[in-house]
Amino acid sequence: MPTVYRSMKRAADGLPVLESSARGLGVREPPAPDADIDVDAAGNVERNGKGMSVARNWRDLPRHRIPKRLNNGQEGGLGPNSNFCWRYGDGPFAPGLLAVGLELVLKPHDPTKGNVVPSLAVPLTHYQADLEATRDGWVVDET
Amino acid sequence: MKTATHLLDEHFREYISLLARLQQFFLEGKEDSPEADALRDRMDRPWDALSPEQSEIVAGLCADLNGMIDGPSPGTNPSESELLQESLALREARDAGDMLAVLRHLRALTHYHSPAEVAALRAEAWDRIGETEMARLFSEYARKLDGREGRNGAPRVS
Repeated sequence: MPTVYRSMKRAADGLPVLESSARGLGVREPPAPDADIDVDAAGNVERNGKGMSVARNWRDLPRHRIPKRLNNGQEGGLGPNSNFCWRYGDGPFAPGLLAVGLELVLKPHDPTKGNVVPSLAVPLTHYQADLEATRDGWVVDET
Repeated sequence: MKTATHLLDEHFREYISLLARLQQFFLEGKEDSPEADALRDRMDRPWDALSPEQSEIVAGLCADLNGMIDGPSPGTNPSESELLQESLALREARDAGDMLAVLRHLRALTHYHSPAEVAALRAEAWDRIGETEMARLFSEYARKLDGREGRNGAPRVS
């Protein structure tokens, strides 16, 4: 299972916030202009490489998502300090099965970035539920 | 050697432009506002299009911008010979018009140049890159540090 990182808010129980946003465990849904996925006429998530964005390491996450408190003078972030960098998995950052119903695909021009996509064409609610089911496996790792 | 133009593509410029606006939110104490979050959402797409090399440049820039909010970072404490090497490299990069290299070498020289000088050099670099909004942010910061309104010229690099 690949190791992936994502910047998300922390809920009161110490786990990632479940939210259809860029700061939660979930994806932004159409018709939002910044939707992370496409949905076909049947209501299934299209398997076109789009999904919940992740990275190889927290240092590879979008700089506007990395909390500002992690600045070390040589590289910094402009994300809110209420964000945390979370890790999931324990293998190399390589394409493959990530969890039940979910796969990691890499972005073609940058092997440090990827998306978590559905393994099969499933309804959007099913995909969001598969993402939510990984919640217990995420740990804060900002080392 | 001028700044590699392939690094300054439309995605990079769009990201830098949005980053300058995000920095403005920080300077106004509005970094946690819904408007700042909406801006961050707009930054995802250009970020995804950046190459690893471009992402590294942005990482350094974010550290520079953090210094504008929290005060200059103490940075590393290079040896005399490292300082000399970096100073030479900075001068050569500046003479050659490689402004991205100028920005990189400056991070190793924060013990040598004053914070106001560093900020003024960063302003000059971003201006020569063509990112005027980013240049303005550093220029205003340099003036604030310098305490002399109107002086925002870069120091002599010898």
